[in-house]
Amino acid sequence: MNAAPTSGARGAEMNAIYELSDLVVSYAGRVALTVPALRLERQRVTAVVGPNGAGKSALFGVLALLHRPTRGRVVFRGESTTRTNLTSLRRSIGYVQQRPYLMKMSVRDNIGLGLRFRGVARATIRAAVDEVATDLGLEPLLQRAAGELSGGEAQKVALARALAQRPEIIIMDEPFTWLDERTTHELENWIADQRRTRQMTVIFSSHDKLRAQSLCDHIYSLVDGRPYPISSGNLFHGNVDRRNGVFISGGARFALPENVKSGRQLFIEPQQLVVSRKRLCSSMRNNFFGEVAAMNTFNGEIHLEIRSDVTFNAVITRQAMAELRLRPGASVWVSFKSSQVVVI
Amino acid sequence: MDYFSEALGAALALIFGFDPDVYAVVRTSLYISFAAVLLAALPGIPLGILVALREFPGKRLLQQVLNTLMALPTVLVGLILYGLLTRQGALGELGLLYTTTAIIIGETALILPIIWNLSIAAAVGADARLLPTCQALGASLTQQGIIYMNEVKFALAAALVAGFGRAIGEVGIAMMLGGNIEGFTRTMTTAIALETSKGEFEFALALGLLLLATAFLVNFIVQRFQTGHERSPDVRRARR
Repeated sequence: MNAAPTSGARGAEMNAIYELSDLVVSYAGRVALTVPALRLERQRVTAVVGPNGAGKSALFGVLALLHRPTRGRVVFRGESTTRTNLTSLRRSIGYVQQRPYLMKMSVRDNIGLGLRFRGVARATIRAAVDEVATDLGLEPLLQRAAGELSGGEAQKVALARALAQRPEIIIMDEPFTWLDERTTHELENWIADQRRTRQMTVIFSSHDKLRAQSLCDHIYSLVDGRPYPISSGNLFHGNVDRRNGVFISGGARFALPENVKSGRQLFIEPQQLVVSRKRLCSSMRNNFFGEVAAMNTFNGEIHLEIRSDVTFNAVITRQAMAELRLRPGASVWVSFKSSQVVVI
Repeated sequence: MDYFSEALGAALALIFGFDPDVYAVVRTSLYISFAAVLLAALPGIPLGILVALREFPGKRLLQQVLNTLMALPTVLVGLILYGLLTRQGALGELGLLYTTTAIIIGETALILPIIWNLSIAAAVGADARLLPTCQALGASLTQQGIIYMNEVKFALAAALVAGFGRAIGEVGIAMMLGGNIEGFTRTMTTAIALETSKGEFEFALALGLLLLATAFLVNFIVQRFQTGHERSPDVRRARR
């Protein structure tokens, strides 16, 4: 399964940096992750989303070439990993752990460590550290002991340490978890820059699907250690019409919660959509008429793609599907409460 | 004055009068123990870190053997090495028996399992994120080992001090391999045993006090390392 493309610029060059097939990762006999197939594109921003314990860190351990999968094949830049090429392949990856570990050294030495491992000359390391520290606003911290930093500062230093190596890929496991608001904003901007400049492949995980969708080119969703179709997310770009209290995206007008004044993206969970054959008489203010464009079964749930003024993704039970006698092309109504709409 | 306090006075006079015989023995003991710690640390620390970092068949068995060897009876080491170093022994031609070198070899054999095992414990005690961090930064195995040495240096120092304490305080190996030759292989512990049996109680007591002072100094250093460790930024952050 490919990571599902979301909106965003798509370049001409679309070659894979990772190709995973029949992947199984087990810890102490318990299967933590099963990925039948996954292809990640070069120079794109890919987000891996899912709740805690979904297998994101297990996947990242494999992508960072730190854990050998229990089963399956990992092809990285067209090469299979072996015992002999492992260290050299790892050196093209910058990996930032969820709670990064900084060595008991100065911030400067920490940032330059990856280059030191590569046998880079001292002066070159110094220049590289200065450059990345300037980019991330870390110069005032360079002489400090790493242990004295706050969580957000440590996270930034870990990112700087990964970036100083000028890796082809940067992998960040839940980078937003421990950040304060300002640093979160800086990191979001940094990811947005990478997405625009297309110089690096960025892979990050998040349990915040909304944030992930707004930052990435491709999104890959995991639930209970298995891929979960992310196309089921509903994210629409547009503008708030404050006078009428609606959000306008394409031809669709969404009724909003009263407190929403601005925002450029509207999000609604697929599970919140009510699908019916006739228009419902209810308090739900958002009602759209459309037709079923696609149906997929997943983990016992039915994922529907419904084409209306915009395309909705809904999740219903098998029982509901039988009761509604749904099939591709069937006319349906999609309804949801305005209070369940999120605008950012 | 009774026998003991008289002897104590005489012993203090020997110590603070810097009696050359007393300090010659102390010097021999310190030389042997430092040399043994150095010789045991050279393979012991890298091997300890290697065992901690790598998974291999027989790792558990090795650790069980090392645990057992930590409580190795000194006379057994003395006995085995005596058998090797004596004139008729396999290494008899080297003529090492009854030399300080023989004692150093014995003490090294005694404390190598201690330093090796405590180095494993030190590396295993490092933060669980350290190894993946090193690997992700592209460190080779040797580079990982160097980083580990820096990260757990206080625990490694404590391992060395534990080895030193064992070497300087033991009597079996020093007696059997050194032969307690005055001015040559006489160590603090062998001298104490001999002088007491000769009735030179104050001389033995002076050495006993100096041995105690050395043990105290060793403990003091260990404590300094530990408090140094506690003062290190990482622990401070964890306590916050």
